[in-house]
Amino acid sequence: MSAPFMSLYRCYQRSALLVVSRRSLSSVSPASSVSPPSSVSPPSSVSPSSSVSPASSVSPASSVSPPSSVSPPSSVSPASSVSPPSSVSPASSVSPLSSVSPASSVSPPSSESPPSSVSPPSSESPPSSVSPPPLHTRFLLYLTQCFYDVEMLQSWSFLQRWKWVQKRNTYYGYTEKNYGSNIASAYYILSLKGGFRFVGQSEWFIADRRSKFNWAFLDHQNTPLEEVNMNYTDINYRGLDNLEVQKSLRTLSLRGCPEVNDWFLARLHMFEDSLEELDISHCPRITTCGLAALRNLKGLKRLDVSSLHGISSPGMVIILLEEMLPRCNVTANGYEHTLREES
Amino acid sequence: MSTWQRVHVHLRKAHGLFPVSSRRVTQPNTWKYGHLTLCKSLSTSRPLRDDFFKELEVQLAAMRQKALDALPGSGWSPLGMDQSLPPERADIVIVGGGVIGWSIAYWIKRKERERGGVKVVVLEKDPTYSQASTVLSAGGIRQQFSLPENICLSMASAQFMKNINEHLHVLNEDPVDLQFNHSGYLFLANEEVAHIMEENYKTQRSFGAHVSLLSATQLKEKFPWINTDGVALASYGLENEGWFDPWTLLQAFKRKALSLGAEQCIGEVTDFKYTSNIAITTEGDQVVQRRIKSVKVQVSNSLEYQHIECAMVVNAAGALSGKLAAMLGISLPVEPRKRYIYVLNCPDGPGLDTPFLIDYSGVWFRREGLGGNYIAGTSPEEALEPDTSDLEVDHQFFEEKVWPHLASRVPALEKLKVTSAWAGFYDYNTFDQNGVIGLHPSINNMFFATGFSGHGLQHSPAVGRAVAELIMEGNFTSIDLSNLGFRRIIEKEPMLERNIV
Repeated sequence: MSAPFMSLYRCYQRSALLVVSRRSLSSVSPASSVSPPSSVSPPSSVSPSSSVSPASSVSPASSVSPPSSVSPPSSVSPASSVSPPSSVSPASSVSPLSSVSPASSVSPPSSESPPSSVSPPSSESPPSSVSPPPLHTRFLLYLTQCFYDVEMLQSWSFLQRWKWVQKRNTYYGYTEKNYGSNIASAYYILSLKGGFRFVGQSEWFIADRRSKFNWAFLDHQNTPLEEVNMNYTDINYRGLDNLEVQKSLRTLSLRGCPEVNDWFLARLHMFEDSLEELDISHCPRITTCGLAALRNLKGLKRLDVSSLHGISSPGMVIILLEEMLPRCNVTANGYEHTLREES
Repeated sequence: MSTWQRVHVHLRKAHGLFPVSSRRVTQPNTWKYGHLTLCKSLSTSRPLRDDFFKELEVQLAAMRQKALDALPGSGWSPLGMDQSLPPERADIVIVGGGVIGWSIAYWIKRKERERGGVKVVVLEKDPTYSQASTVLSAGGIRQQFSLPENICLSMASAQFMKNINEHLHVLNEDPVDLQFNHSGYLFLANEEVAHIMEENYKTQRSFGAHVSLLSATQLKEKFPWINTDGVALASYGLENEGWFDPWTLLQAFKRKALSLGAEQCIGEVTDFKYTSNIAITTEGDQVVQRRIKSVKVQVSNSLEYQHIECAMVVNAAGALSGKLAAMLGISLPVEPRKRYIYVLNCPDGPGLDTPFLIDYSGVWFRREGLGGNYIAGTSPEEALEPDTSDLEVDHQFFEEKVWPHLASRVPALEKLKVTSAWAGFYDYNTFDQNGVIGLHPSINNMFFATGFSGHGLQHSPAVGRAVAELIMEGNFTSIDLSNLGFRRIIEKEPMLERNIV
């Protein structure tokens, strides 16, 4: 059988299975409607979309709504008057494509986020935009809901991204065994395209865009690191294992790191004696709860928390931060402190 | 005439293949848009001129639907069974839809080799969770225990929560945000119990927990708002400790378990059907071995019930697990105990770095949000345990038992206002206040995961994994929790935790 035919067949099978599952388990969990129906639905799963009334399937707001499902009501209403209420939602009997639309019409937030396998999810979901997501996103969502293999590939690629980040942040045990912990930390920083400066030296070792760097750092096996610049790198909490031994680290710059989150900040207590300057601006995943973890860094002199879009009330949080760290100079730009008019 | 028209309408529905005859009957009497005539009825139910092909499509779809239903594998039955009842058969029935129950369901589904290989049904009697311990909990997690099992469970759970999106992420859904406050726990000890705290500290460090000991002066330096009178030693958690939103964790487990194929049913377990095997030991004692065959589930607010035939049952019923076990004749020493939590508002109180403070008198408090709100509570003495028939709050208890200690420990909290309060149940293990995980010797297929006495939420991911290992693989693989089994209850050897709240 040719491939397009097989996938088309599977499309019918998949939608047919969806239809069957909704029918057999339509009343099993009416209360579980907290989550929008997930597209990961093997036959025995529950999809609360069965409780969605036929009227909503005709709503133009549904992201994946091929024109055929928004067909003139006359074709839908006879079906609804014919079938008894306990059977499958009538919209699905019209065409297989419209079986997708009740599912998608209930889930505007998920359709707005672009294929979540590609971009790392931010801690704060983007505010609901009025415009529907771009065509390729909608198409991918439609494919995911139609084919098990597309869905499997998407969830696999999402996990692969996480595994890749974890792999980049592994513990450089081999380097540490052969060259010492300072060189291991240095090599780790350079592998992630960061930069550093040794104690007592003024020369910076930075990896450029093509990941090329000066190997001269190998000469300084016993010198610890003083300043580390990891702006816009993939460092995460696991990567701090490599920097744990740097007890004389004075400056740490983590501007715009996508993987720096609250758990990372909680681990920064290992530098509590020496750290004087910390820059965590533009990190999307940091939230208010993580900033409370900076309480241990009592020796901090300069802290930059600009443009942290994950924190909810920035003005309040900055004030509390300044109270918590009295000897610290807190820089917080990039927030709009205007009063909003109550409508 | 109208009757005849209705008959024709029905005929048209049944066999959409004879449009000519129906049209012949109605045509002379109607205009194109159905004007009223003397011979026509006033019904507006359907247009009298209809498109043959549209109807054909509908008919074919309906026929296809009926054919699919008739095939084996669909849930349809000609007897028209009630759709709201739980299924008749399941592999594993988990009694209790709290965080422990859903965690076990998720992990079992995670560990099944084949998709849809194990049919897991989670029974919850109250879908609103109005009395469930999970949602009424303060939501704290700490590694500062004295039992190694508890320490490992907490650490594994914190590790799980660190990567929660990799575990519980559902495709095209919002990521899970637990709102984990990394503020740490602070335990205060006076002279008498300082040595216990030091021993506990050593145990915790040996398992890799990040805890530090502070003397009274160091404590004063770090937290100037604490009154350090009477404090000899303090134990402060640096990492993986804090509090989070229990509802989010529960919903995340539930959503992922449902997406992996677990099922949820609303109903209460009222009875079991089991077979008994009576054996006689060499001394002449009778030993009864029971095997549960089916669980009788009573649907809420209804007279309907359903017997679910199952292979295994997991007792994750929380505060009501004792009652459930009593149906099988087992005495499980778990009972509900009411605990109050009071929400306080104090604008001059300690700031963002307030940890979860637990005093040696038993009084605890923690920050809630950013607006100067705190929640506080304490454990009452054994003799003065409040009545557990309802969840009413006793405000007198706050004024007598909580506020004096709180005000003496934190002088800034002398002037405060109690904005609200709630009460919740502990699934209190009266034997030794630690969880019971594992099989009971006289029941072959009932697993227990209950009795955590206030620590269920923080251990839930790791406990779920442990019970799933027990069920799917036969014994504990990651953390060895055999010491938390039923053996210690039968042999009367309590595993007490020193310093619990």
